[in-house]
Amino acid sequence: MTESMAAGAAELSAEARPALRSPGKMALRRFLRHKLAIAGVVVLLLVIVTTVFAPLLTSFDPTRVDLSQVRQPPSGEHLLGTDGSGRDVFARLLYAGRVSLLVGVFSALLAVGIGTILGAIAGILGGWVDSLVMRAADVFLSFPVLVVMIVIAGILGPSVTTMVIAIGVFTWPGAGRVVRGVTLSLREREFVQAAQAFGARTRWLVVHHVLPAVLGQVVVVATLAVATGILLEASLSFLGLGVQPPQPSWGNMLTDAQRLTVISQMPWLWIPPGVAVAITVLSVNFVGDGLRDALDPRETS
Amino acid sequence: MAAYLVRRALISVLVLVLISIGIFWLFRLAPGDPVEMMLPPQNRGPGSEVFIAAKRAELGLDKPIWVQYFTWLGNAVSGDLGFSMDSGRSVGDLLGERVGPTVYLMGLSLLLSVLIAVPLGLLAAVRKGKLADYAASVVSLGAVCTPPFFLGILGIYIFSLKLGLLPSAGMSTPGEYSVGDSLSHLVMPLVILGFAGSGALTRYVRSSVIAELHSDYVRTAEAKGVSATGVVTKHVLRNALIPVITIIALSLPGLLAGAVVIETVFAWPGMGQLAIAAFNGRDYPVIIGFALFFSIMVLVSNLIADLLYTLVDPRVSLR
Repeated sequence: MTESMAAGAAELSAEARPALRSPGKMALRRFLRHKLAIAGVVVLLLVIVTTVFAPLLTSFDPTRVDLSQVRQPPSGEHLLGTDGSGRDVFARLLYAGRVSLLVGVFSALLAVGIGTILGAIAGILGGWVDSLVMRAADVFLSFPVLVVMIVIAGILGPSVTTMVIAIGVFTWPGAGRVVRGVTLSLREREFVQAAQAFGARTRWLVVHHVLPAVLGQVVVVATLAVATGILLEASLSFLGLGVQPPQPSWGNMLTDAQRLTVISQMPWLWIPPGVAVAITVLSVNFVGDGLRDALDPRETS
Repeated sequence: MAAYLVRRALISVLVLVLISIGIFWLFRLAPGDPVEMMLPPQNRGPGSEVFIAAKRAELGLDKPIWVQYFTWLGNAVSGDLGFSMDSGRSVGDLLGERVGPTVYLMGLSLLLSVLIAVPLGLLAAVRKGKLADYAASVVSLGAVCTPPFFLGILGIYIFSLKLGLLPSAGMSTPGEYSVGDSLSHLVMPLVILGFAGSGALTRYVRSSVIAELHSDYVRTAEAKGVSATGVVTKHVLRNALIPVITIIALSLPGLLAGAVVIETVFAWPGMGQLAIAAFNGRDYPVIIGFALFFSIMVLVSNLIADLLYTLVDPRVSLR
């Protein structure tokens, strides 16, 4: 994953500054120096592998009810115990990870896709289009997804698709602003003005000049958007606005922990998914920070 | 400046109209015709068709969609948001009695966020790249990455159930009103919401202070012999907080979203708990009332942010 991103960075800055080492290798070196980012990659790979190969790691079906095994504490057979319906918590945790990660990735892709297109168009065209897009960005950004989902799910009913779309549609301004900023500075560059003078259309400019230039920063924004998506999934599903039981997700595994008896008697039900969310989101953030340092060396925050 | 603010306010009204159209459209998409729901299929007889038609006419459901929209909007503007399907009470009243507890919790936790974020962000910026900076970023990253409801449950587990120090739900113990009692109910929701809000704010304060530290006036102040502490507190902080004030105003809607989750965990009788209860019961009038109230709150926060931005920073020139 990292290599292909670094390769993308190589393409965009190869002509900009000649160096002894290729920019791609330099970006990779900068990333590898970032110890927390490496730790993040390792943890994240571990999370992805365990969720993808969940059927190999556990023989339990995450949705199979077994009333003879209700509320068992962790044991050799049930590593993390069982829940109120006798379902194996370890199996649920692994399968829940799939849903949570997928929601994070797809909502981030949607947000970054919308943001990149709108940001590039706003930056290239400028004028009233730019004002309109940026005004819309302000409005979308000021509505928290959680509140929007209460209204949408309350009226249309909750679903995973609705949640992914809502997260994507209401978090695009992050990518939009970044892409617009880069595009604005790009518009002043001679090679873009030359292309415009030759009659290049907006679409062509966006595809051939804007997209390669913003790729590095977009990758960083996308990584952080995945973290946001996973966190939002957790909160939404916890409140019943997202993934619906019996399908497990890290968020809805905590829904049961609204009852005091569950909190006090069965900590194995709610500590693992909560820790899983925190660790995954933290790792994604570390990777994002590492990528930022690697791909965008100008901004050392 | 007045012209600028009037223009911004007009844009906000336009946005509000668009949002109300969106909400109305969603409402129309909702499954189930209200009249059909009044009369379940098993209770229908030969005269039911006539009754349904009459009832639809009475409720105005036979009119064109835009007439229905303006009727609905007119009622909403005059404060008539309909009645809760659950309790039968007026939605305006229901929302009204929930505003107080939410504003109380949000206001104090915002204050706590600022009290955490400003010193921490300042410290991190001044000691950039040193241990204090890393410690501050660990704290703020922890606040950003841990789901607040998980912290809430953890807090209940440790402080309410294991140690028995703090109550786990509500604003006060029924029948027992004392300052100590309400404070003990407030501690956990307040600290968790305040901590959760401080994460992003600390990062803003830090980067804002770092940006100001390189200004010319800092060098001038140092050259004329102002102490390092003096430069930071008297000069840098004042300038660095200008963008932060705007960020705080803009973060109000997000804070309410956090409050929704925390109110649910701690059974705090505020807007968030009401909204989630309305969602669970599919109480459409309450959901829509909440949506309208929230939209107005968002737009007002944006206006406040614009206003503060222009008031606090004399360098900002307005078109």
